[in-house]
Amino acid sequence: MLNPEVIKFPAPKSQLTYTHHTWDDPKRNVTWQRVIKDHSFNRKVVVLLPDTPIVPNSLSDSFTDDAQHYLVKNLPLAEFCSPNFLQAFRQKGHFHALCCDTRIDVDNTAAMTPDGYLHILVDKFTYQELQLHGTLSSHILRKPQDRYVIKINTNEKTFRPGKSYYERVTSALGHPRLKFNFWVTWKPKNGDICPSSVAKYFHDLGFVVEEQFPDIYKSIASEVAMPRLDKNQTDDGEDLEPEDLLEWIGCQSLGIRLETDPSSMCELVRPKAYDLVSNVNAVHCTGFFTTEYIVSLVGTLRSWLLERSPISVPWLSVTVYGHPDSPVSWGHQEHSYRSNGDNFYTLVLQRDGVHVFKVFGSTQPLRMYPKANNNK
Amino acid sequence: MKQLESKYWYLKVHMDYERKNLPFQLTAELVKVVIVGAIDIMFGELSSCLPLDVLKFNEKTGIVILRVPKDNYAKVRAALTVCPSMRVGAVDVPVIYTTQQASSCLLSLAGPERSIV
Repeated sequence: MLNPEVIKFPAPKSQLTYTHHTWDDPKRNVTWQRVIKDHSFNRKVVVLLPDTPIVPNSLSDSFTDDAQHYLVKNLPLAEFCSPNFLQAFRQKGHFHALCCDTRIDVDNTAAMTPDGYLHILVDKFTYQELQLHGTLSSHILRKPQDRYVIKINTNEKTFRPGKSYYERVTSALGHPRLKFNFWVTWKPKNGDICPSSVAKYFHDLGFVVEEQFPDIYKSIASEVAMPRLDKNQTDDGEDLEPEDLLEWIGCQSLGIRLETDPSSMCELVRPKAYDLVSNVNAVHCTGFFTTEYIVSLVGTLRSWLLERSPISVPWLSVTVYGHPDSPVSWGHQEHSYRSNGDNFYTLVLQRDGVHVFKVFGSTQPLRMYPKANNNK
Repeated sequence: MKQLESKYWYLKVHMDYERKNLPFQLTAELVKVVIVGAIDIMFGELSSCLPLDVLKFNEKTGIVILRVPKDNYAKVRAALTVCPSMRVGAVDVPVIYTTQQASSCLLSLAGPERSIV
């Protein structure tokens, strides 16, 4: 490099989208539900509850009901293609599977979303050995070409034993390097079937299955200044920016105390228009959750909010994090790990509306060498 | 859906040092002085005057949460990676800074960490 850059080092790009609408907006009511439904792999949920020194039983039950997930060790990918499995689990409920201990930018990894697609991310060597049709990954280094994405649709009519496409896929997926430890969870459409039948199925095939429950951690802050969100109440014309709201929610989840005045150490202060609220409880649940669990949790929280008075509980927030190493984030959009592998969304629930924040990493490909400075 | 740009980057840094080497205990203000000193050594005085906030310092675990403007993120992270020691009260104490999580959104520092670090 003739003239290397020594002054400007831009930070990696990431995307933050924000929208706000009322609960019963007929056209747009689809938006927050779409955000929840498309986000297949939910790893952690953080809920901020004002004025709750002790979480009531109705809420704490909704955190732990039906939330168990299973860790299946050394599962080969060909098991997800067997017709018994597809008929018993994929078509009769919502099945989620995600590799738990691989990294998307260096290892091979795989995941299965509830719509029946198997997403596999492999390196060049394995891709050439598998000989299945795939595309170059859009966000990792494109030169040298190294990461390939293979998507297999198990819903197709040609995906049955006896057809040549099926035989080719199952023989390729029997590759010895395609064995991973998966987190598996299943929610049946029919309420009579027990969700643990998926664990029994894998156990009968001879794999090691461990049942795991969500890990719950609570922390309470005593006197907290919650920012005021209603526009007609702010009389000095200071509107709260959405990024500042998200920063405030982050401070509460991490246990950071905000002072009234800026000091030499920290310039982040309390919001200008605020309500003093006591006992803000931050509940952190770590596990592997289905989208139905999140939908029912949001419904429970909404009804809880309507029971409490608007002065002690002005609003509450729910943040749902995806796994930092999952191959897909929303729908089939590829997920990239830049500095932190963020893919999460936050819903700020008010009585009359909801604010939705979505954060995900940029999908631009990484550069091996920075752009040359052409003496400009 | 509105696209928003975050103005700040947040880092969660772990400080690894021997407590018996220190003449007195570290507080959050001292941590800011020490980190600004590290940036000063690598990038000079102009970069060290840029705003840096210490949001939280946990003395027992040695975890610091910092907030820097977007354009300084790369410099702060680079300076912390190569810094060998901190100067506290005329004593040079060796320290290792490990950036555990860094993101443009503070809320993601509360999220799940990578399974293999």
